[in-house]
Amino acid sequence: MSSENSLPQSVQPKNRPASRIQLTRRLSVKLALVLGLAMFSLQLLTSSLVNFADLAILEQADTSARAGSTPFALYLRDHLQINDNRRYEPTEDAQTMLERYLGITETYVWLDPDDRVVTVGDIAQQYVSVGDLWPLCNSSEYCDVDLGPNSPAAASTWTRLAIDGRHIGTFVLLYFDATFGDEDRIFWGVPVSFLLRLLAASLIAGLTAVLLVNLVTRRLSRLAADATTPLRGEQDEPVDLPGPFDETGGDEIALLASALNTMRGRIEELVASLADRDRQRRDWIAQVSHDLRTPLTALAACLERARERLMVTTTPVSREAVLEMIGAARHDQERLQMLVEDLFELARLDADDSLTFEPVPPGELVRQTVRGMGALANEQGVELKANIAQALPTIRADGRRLMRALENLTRNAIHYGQSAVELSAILDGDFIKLQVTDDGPGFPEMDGKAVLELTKSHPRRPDSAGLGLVVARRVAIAHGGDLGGENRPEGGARVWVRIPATPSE
Amino acid sequence: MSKATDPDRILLVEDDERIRLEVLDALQAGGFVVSVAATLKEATDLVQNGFDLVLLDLGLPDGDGLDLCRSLRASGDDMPIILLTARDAPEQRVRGLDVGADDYVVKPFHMPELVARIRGLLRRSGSKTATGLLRADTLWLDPQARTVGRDDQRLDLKPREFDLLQFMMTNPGRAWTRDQLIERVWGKSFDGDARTVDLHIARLRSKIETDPSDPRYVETVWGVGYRFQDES
Repeated sequence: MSSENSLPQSVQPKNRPASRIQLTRRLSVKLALVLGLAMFSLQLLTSSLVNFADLAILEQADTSARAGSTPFALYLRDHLQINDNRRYEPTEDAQTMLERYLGITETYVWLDPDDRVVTVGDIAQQYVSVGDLWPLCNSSEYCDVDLGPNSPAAASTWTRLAIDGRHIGTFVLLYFDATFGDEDRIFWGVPVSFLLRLLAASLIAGLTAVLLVNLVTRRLSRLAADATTPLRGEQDEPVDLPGPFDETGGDEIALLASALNTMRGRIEELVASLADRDRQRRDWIAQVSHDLRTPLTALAACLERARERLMVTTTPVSREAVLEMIGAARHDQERLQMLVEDLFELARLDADDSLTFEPVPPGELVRQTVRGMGALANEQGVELKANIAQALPTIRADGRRLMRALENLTRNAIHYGQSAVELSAILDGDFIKLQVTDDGPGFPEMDGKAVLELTKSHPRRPDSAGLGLVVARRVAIAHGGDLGGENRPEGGARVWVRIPATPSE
Repeated sequence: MSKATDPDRILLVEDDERIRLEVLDALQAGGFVVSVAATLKEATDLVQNGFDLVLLDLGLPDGDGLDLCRSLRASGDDMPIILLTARDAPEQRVRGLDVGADDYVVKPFHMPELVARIRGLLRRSGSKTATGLLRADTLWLDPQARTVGRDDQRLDLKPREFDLLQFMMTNPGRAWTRDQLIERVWGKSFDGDARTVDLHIARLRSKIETDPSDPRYVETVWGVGYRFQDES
């Protein structure tokens, strides 16, 4: 019967930033790896495609060279000048042209007739396919080509140029490995440029991953932050729950938000029902206090009256008058006692719903009740009868509590009955029905359902029959049964508890 | 033990003064000689003087009344003990009976009921050794011939059922817990549980009762155990 508010006044938000960062980190690393690999393989693929194209052209150039014409050589043939040493060398224009048109993996060397180096081309900055130069020179008339057997480089094309049969120089086209630049050094067995490209790809992938993952986790952490907002709410006021959460997006996070919203709805319902129960309970306690106060007031008044009559009045008090006053006081005391015991029983049922099961022969239960209530019935001038069906199964139940429930129903019936109250035990389907019938005025403007409502929300009959019905109903429910009641057509009321007829063995 | 001429001497152990005075008054009016103790220590000292019966409240300021009960029984003293217990504590009653109390009265009690219980217990405590034919209503039991019958019809009981019935009929009106019954009827070495007793009571009822679902002889004491009907 605790009346304390069981609503949580505040819930400490449990921030777990560590785990969020972990999630970000884990996702980022995985994403970076995947992206890095993808980018790198893409780059490998495209660069090798370009190189394949170049190789094809160079091979063509090579073939042409063998056939006696090298396009660069032919071009150079028209752009030679004679320098101060009376040697041929490429004009500056030609040098620029060659620089432009040779790729970063190619360069040229111009040798004078004595095979001394005259001009060396820089590594071209712009990558222009050699094919662009190709149409400039497709005539072989000036080419007196002779690829020497002692070539200085494996990957090179030699073209000896001659004017009028006179050897004027050699154009050497050097081209390097198609894959690697000339700065390439080998590091741990892997070319540095490869490592650099891998590193760059990884960095870009990593950054992209962090951005992408952050995009996802930012929404998640916002959800988490929203959900862990400290709860507010004073007693008697609805608790202000966090949310509702943003469900837009149509993705998994929106799904999560929607789940959170569903949960929020449930919590709201729960909180509302708790508050409702709390209110009911407080109403109920107020009512019970009132119920206690009534007989207490009556008792005090009665005792006071007796004291005054016996002490103050000069006329002698008759024996009957004293007995009447004592009787009234005793009646109040009994009402109080009943109330207190019912309260105690309810408190026990509230605190611990476990029942002490033992075999209960229904007939014995009814007969013991009739015997126990006989004195009260006599006092009220009501005849108490037992009507026990033959050969009822012995059930497993909490006999003490069940008898208390039956006593409560009987006490009410005796209170309201005119002349006769009947207790019966019958088999009702899978239930044992313990029924108390009286010939009193019945329930005022009520049917059986209302009796149940009565015991739920208003623990007492309008003119206070104590908590008897409430206790009886609780006992029945604790057994998996129920309590019901109705007005009899012939007058009077009928109230019963039904207990599942679980056999005792 | 109690002679008709001597008044019976009762030790009342109760810490609440109002209840103590009321009970004292009622007992003295009933013709008993009463000594009172308000604490466990006082009671332990006084009980040495020997009494015909002890009325024992369980919740005492300096200890549990059950300790007194236990120590009396441990020292072999079988003076009748009636416990004063709260209505809502059947476990307490069971425990009290298990440590050797003879009966209990539930608070708040009617004085006449208490006095009647005291008289009943005092009357019975002198006749525990009766071995003659036991009778209750139309039911009879012959301890010598080990036969049971209702009117002139003999009933066929298993030995254990007979022992159980005989034990309970020898002590009519007294509530026995299931553990007590196991100890007294089956013996201390038996390690059955409460269900064993329930089962035997059910079988016994099916044989001696007209309607086992409405037993007249062996009554259930709800939440405590069983009692053989006292009324003749």
